[in-house]
Amino acid sequence: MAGELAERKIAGVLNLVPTYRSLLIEYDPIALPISRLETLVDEIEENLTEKSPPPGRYFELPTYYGPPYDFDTQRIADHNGLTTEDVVRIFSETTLLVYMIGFLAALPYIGGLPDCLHTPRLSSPRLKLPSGVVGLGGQQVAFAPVELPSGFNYIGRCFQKIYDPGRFPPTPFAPGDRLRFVSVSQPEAQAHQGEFPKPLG
Amino acid sequence: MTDTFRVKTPGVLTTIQDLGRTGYGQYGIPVSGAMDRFSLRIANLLVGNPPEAAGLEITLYGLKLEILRSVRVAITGADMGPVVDGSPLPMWQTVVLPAGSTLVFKQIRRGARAYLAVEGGIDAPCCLGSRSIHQKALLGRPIGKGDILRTASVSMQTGSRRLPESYIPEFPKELCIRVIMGPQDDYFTREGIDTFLSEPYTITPDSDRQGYRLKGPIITHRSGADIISDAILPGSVQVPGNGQPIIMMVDAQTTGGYTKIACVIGPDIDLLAQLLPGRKVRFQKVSVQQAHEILRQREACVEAITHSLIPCESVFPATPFQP
Repeated sequence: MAGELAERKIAGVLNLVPTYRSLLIEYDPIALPISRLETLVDEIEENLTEKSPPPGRYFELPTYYGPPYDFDTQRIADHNGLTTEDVVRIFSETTLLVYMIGFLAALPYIGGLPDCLHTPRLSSPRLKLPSGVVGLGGQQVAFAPVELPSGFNYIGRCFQKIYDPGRFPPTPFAPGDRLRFVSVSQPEAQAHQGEFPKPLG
Repeated sequence: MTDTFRVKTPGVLTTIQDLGRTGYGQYGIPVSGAMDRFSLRIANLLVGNPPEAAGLEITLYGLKLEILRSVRVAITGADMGPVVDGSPLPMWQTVVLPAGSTLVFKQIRRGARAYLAVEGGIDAPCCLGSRSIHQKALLGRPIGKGDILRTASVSMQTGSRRLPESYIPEFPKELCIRVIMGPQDDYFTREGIDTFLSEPYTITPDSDRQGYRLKGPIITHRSGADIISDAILPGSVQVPGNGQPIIMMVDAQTTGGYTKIACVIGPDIDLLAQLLPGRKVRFQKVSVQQAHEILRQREACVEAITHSLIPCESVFPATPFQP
């Protein structure tokens, strides 16, 4: 629906925000009366074929899982009856899915975490974490585009730049993209510092 | 571009703002821009700028600018008792600030945010379609001591003008804010909705351009307060588990996971922008059609203003200084 609406470039449609549960359509009711917008949306909905969304791209993100960024690896291991090595191995071998982009500074909302890693969020959030840290909370994965406060369990850091307001779009990711946080050494992860990730396919 | 102002003291919070970056919600980029868009639009109109030119949003008090070249400006929004070299400066009209003078915003008298528009607009990097500052999203920073602010050197095509008094907003200390209910009003009990629409809520000190946290009678949910993350707009009224509403403002994040009981209509966000912590608001429900009608009236009002500005003297001070 969002794709169709964007493609038609309808005068008066200002902003489209697709999320897990809804599509927000921001419109100028003076340029585009709501009755006309409703008719358009109904019409698009009727003609929406069950075509599957575009397959999305695949990214491998070089990630360092050691200290000082393994803040909560032990906690995740303890919660799930695993060793810390298991946690890193399972997490780094899992292909995750970008569901949407939101919050501030193009934060990707990532899912696809195996059940054996699901871990409740911290009871008290950390006030400041560096950009690029990777963690998990419940069944979601966090990948911080900028310095953030967060209650997720953090296990590593990728030094690539995933938010650049000087670019358009400012994020390398889009809903439907697949990601893998590949485990590498600290020097190798840091060698990619500041790079804007490129899809492999 | 020409150096126009030197910042002697930045005050509580002064940022460069225009009408914001609309259309980047899907990339997780907040809208930003002037909190009180009406006041910025009028300020731009008074100096002959297009409505989307960037100006300064000045919060509370304390901004002190050295004027580096003679320049035409207009100050609108909150009354902070602006003075130039000790003489009070008229607001809501074009004025010429002489080179070498100092402009000071002394204290807040009415409202919360003042706007300074300069002919040519304030220069700043244009990122994603806007010059608006949003520090948390790495889009610039508030102005700081010693900063030089530059503007395009243009000469105004139109003369100096002032806004007729009847159009100057009053910025009352208590407001009735109009809202459209939803999109998650069905997550609240009937009593919760009644409480929201009948009781006063106080703006807490924990309020900023991102959101206003309010304090008042608890708004009760039917079951949980959390939803899977959904889009947020400036004006969205989120109610977390503690039952205390948060009105999202122009710097709001684009998504969030709390239930939204209602959304403040666009023109009333401008009014909210001028309320300080400690002030009270009440919420009044309107239909989508009513909200559209209010917006049409607002736009008709701005259009009427463009035709009813009164020519005036712009030299400042009005009487030349006699030694």
